[in-house]
Amino acid sequence: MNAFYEHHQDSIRLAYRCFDRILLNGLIQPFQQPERVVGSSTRIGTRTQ
Amino acid sequence: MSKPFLKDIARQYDYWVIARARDWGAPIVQPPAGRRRDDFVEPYFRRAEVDQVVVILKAREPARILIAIGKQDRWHLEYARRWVNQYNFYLCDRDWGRMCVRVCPYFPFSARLCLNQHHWLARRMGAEDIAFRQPGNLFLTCGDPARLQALADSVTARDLERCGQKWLRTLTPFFTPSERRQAACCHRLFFAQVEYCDNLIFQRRAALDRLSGRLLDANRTVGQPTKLAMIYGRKVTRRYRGKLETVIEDLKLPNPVIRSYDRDGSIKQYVRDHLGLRTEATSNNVADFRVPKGLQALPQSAVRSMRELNTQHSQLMTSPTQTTSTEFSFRTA
Repeated sequence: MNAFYEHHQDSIRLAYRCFDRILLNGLIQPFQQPERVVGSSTRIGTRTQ
Repeated sequence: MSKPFLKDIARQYDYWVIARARDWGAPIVQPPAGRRRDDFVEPYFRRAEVDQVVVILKAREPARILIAIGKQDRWHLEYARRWVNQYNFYLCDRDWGRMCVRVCPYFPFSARLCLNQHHWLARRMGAEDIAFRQPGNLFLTCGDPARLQALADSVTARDLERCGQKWLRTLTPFFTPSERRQAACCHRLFFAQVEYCDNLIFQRRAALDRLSGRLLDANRTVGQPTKLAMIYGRKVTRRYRGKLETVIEDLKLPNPVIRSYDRDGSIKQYVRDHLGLRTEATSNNVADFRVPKGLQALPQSAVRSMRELNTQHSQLMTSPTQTTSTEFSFRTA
């Protein structure tokens, strides 16, 4: 632990470190170029019906 | 492929969400303007069950979508940034607890996941019968602090990937299992933002309030380039590009937040839940730490760097050389 913690350790009852918020972006890589989507799109249109 | 066709895909997704929301018993609502979404969805989580979508917020947000320009049978396709209705699914995951998945119903169905390791740790400690108190986004007490830290350090990219893919498969019903497998028609995940925090929980609220006030008073100059150079370990030169400022913000927490920006990241220090002093490094581009953005592995070197940033920041904030006008006497015991 650092000097700050050592200086205040009498007043501190718990110390821990961890990730807080993690944001992840999700991309469908085969569709990142318009020319690659034409064949796939006709099938996709019916999937959610 | 035409403009009406692309619109129809999004419309079909609207119908799908309406039908699923009815099955799940999750309302679809518009988020109120000017109110934090986390606060707004809080009541919906009170009776949440495991792996349940509790509420869906539908809101206009910017997204990169495929648009078709032209008419009749002559269409040109290109990607463009547009404000479109997107769905934010707030749900309670078995492992990660509260989380949110945003799905854009327009081609190419970009998505964003928002997770928080505090909820993950709460689930893990609950499974191990470790007593703890977590009034919000902070642990105020823990029956086994060493185990808490060991659990915090044990999270892997696979934990993130497993959770992300599970919900993206559920919430993007556009592809068959074989398409996902053979044509790679599944989302690949990338880090968009990572926050890593050091938390010190004090015994008494008054002591921390006094300390926090003095830290703010004594460190108004923490945003000077020379001091940022000490925190981030690199010189600020004329070639520097990006944000470089320090602000004191009111984020509706008990005390103000002091935040220093550097390139695509920032570091902030604030009091949380009256008893916790949090120092938190944020990166909006893990490539700044020379690690790939893909989720193949947790960016351990980025984590080490962010941990180091938190330590440097705390030490600089409390260094006697930074408190020339104020006596260095922060001891609060």
